[in-house]
Parts: sequence; structure tokens; C-alpha cells
Amino acid sequence: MSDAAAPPIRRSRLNPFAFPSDTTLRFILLVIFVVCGSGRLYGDFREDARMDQVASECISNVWSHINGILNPDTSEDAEKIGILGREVFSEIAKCSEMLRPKVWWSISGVLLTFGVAAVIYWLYPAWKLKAGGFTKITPSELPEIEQELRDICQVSGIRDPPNFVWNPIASGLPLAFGRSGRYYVALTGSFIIKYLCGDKGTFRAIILHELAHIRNGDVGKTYWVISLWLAFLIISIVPSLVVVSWCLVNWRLAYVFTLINDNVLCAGVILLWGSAVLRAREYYADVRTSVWCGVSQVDRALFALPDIFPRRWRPIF
Amino acid sequence: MKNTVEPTLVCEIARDVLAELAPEEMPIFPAASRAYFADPAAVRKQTRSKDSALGFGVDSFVFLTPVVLPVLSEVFEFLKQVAEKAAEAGLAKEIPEIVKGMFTRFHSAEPDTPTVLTREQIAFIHGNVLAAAKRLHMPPDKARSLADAVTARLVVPKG
Repeated sequence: MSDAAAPPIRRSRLNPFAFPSDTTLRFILLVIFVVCGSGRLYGDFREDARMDQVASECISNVWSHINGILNPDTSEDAEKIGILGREVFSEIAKCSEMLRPKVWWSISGVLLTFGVAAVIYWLYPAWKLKAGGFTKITPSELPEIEQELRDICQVSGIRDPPNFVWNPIASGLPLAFGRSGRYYVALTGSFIIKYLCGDKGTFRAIILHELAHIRNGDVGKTYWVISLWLAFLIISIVPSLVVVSWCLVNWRLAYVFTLINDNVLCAGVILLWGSAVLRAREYYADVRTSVWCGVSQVDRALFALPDIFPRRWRPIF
Repeated sequence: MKNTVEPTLVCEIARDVLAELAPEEMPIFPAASRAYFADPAAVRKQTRSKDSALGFGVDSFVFLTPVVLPVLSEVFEFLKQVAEKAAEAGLAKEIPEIVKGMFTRFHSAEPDTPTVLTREQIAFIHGNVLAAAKRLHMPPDKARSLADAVTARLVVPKG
């Protein structure tokens, strides 16, 4: 307990946060993949063979006009370029009109997926607290732990410490969750028994690791990943499977193949990329924890280096 | 199994068992027993965290408190049934008193005090504790220690 009460020491090291973290970049790519995936699948839902054929004829017509403009046969043709240009624009407008319903379906799919993801993200902390049976750690219940956690927060230098909650009959290691501005670190009875009453150094390192997730901005990204996964599954994959079943019954195999292909590829990319986000954040949390713990020789050697960041845009990443 | 037994009595015996098998868990026992009796059904869901992939990792620690409380609640349900039969037979008037008297801790020291449980019933309780502990993912050696500790607290008939 007395060790944790020591004043926090700022230890610099080679700056691993000099560039936007892999977590952020992978998260941005995941968002792009979800936009593409849900847009693509909802575009597939608006399947109209007749309209597609008309649109394709329209487009080929436009191309023939464009060819006429680019390769005039005679000087008279060249004079007509202006007239043809106007006709081309009108044709393009006509083609766009035919394609518009499909685009609207795609946009609706994207908006619906992100809307549902936002609802899941918003409700998750409350659900987690209730389902996990977590309650706030009070000083009267566990005075020693409350003080220890306060000391650890001081070491981390987090300006707005999270709410520490616990479930005395649950097992497992701590978990940070919540949403921007309202973070929680959930502890379990088994964790407190095992580490606080035993290996306090490990207790501190594990709590610092969870605080590092909060400091790195990982918690929001983590639960956006989970929300996007769930929303994509509910809003895009499940309806796709229903459409596939319906098409199988109606023996529309070409369309079924397109849908299954798109489903497998989109779901695979989104699932794997989400996992990549979750994986990357662990690396940065460990790096941040090592900065705070400052136990290695490298840290000691780098302690003398000047602190060259942060900049204003840094917290975004 | 419904939990209609007296929580205080379960807590007292559970505290005894834990003091013997896992004394390090005693500091959180008051909070743990409160949480358990607030929602006994939740204990099965909460004994293993499903979010280990999102948290620090997977913990292999054998945590006894969330096993002892439901296991003893089940034992008390059985003891209550035995006590009801004893009350019908006129051995005593109050069922909670009969249940309390089944434990060495509360059993009267007077030599003529009747014992309610038979050896067969104690063996049955031992088997039930083993099965319940297994259901709650307790390792076999810990489950056996728990079953022994629980039955050691029951009054064995003489002879």
C-alpha cells in the first residue's frame, strides 16, 4: 500500500504514440468496411433484373454518345459537339434516375447499421452493470482496496478517474468498459482475493493496464467494434440469410451465389478487422502500462530523455 | 432448487467452511453473501466472466465463496425436508430449530439430545455436495474437500 502512495514519477521512453496508433487506424478501416459491407448487401437486396438491364442499356447508350464526341468523323460532327454534350448530360441524368433506388437502399442499409450500432453502444454500459451484478466499491466495504485504487489512479495521472465497480461473487480479471466520459473498471471477488491479498505488484499492473485502455481511448473503440459487429450481424447478415433462403426456395441460384459470396466476404473482413482492432489496443495498453510502471532498465535509461509530446491533436488518436 | 432457507444460518455455516478451506476469502465474505442472497440465481452466470477476451485475460483462480453459498443452500433445502418429517414424528416443534440442531455447532451437548440425520442421509448429502460443486466447475479435489468440510459439520448419529 505504501509503495503506491509514493508520488507519481513521469517516465519518458521512446515515444510509441508519435503516430496515430494502429488501434485508431484499424478502427477507421473497420468503419469503412462496415459502410462498404452494409451498403453492398443492401444494394444486393434491391435486385431488379429488368431495371438493371434497362440501366445497362442506358449506360451503353451514353458511352456511344461520348465516343461520338471524342471521335468526330467530320467537321459537321465537331460542330454538333455542343448539342451532343447536352444530350449526354440528359442521358446521364436518366441513367442515374434508374440507379437511384439501389443507391437509396445502400444508404439506408448503412444508416440502419450505424443507427443500431449507436443504440447498442449507448445501452451497453448500463446492460453490463446490470448483467454483471456490479456495484460501486465503497470505502466502508473495502477501505484498503478503495485507497489502493485511488493511489493507482494517481500514478496513471488520469484526470477523470473511472468508476470502480465490483461483483464479490464473480470470478475473472478486471475489465474496462463504458462510453466517453463515463468509464468503469469492473473487478471481481476472485481478483481481489488473489492479487490484493497476495501479489500487490501484479494487482497494480493489471489495474494500470485497464487504466491504460482508458487513457489510450481504447474503451470507446472497443465497444464500437462490438456494436458494429452486432449491428452488422443483425441488420445485414440476418436479412441476407432470409433473402438467400427465399431465393433458394424460388430456385434463383445466380442471385443466391452473389448474396452468399458478398455475405461471406463482408462478414469475414469485418470480423477479422474488428479482431485486429482489439488485438492492437492490447499492445498499446501494455506499452502505456510499462511507461507508468517504469520497471525495466530501458525505462530507466530513457528517463533522462525530454518529454516531447503531447500536441493538441494527439488525444484524438 | 428454490432458496427458502434461512440466509443467516447458511451464512454462518458457509463462514465456518470457508474459514477452514479458504481463509483468504473471508474479507469479502460479508459482501459476497449479501450479493448472493440478493440474487441467488445469478451466481451461475457470474462465476465465470464471459468478457475475458475484452479484459486483461483469463483467470484460473479457484474461488470458493460463490460455490459454498449455493451448495449449502441446496443442503439446507434437503435438511429442511428431513426436519419437516422429524417435526411430524414429534421430535421437535420448530423446523428451523431442528435444522440448526443438525449441525455440531448448534447441537446440544447433552447426551440424550436426539440426532435427526442418519448415516445414509449424511452420505447422500456428501454425494450431493460433490455433484453440485462439479456443476459449478469446481476441481475434483476442491469439491471433495468441500463435501468433507460440509459433512464434518453435521451431527453423526451415535453407534
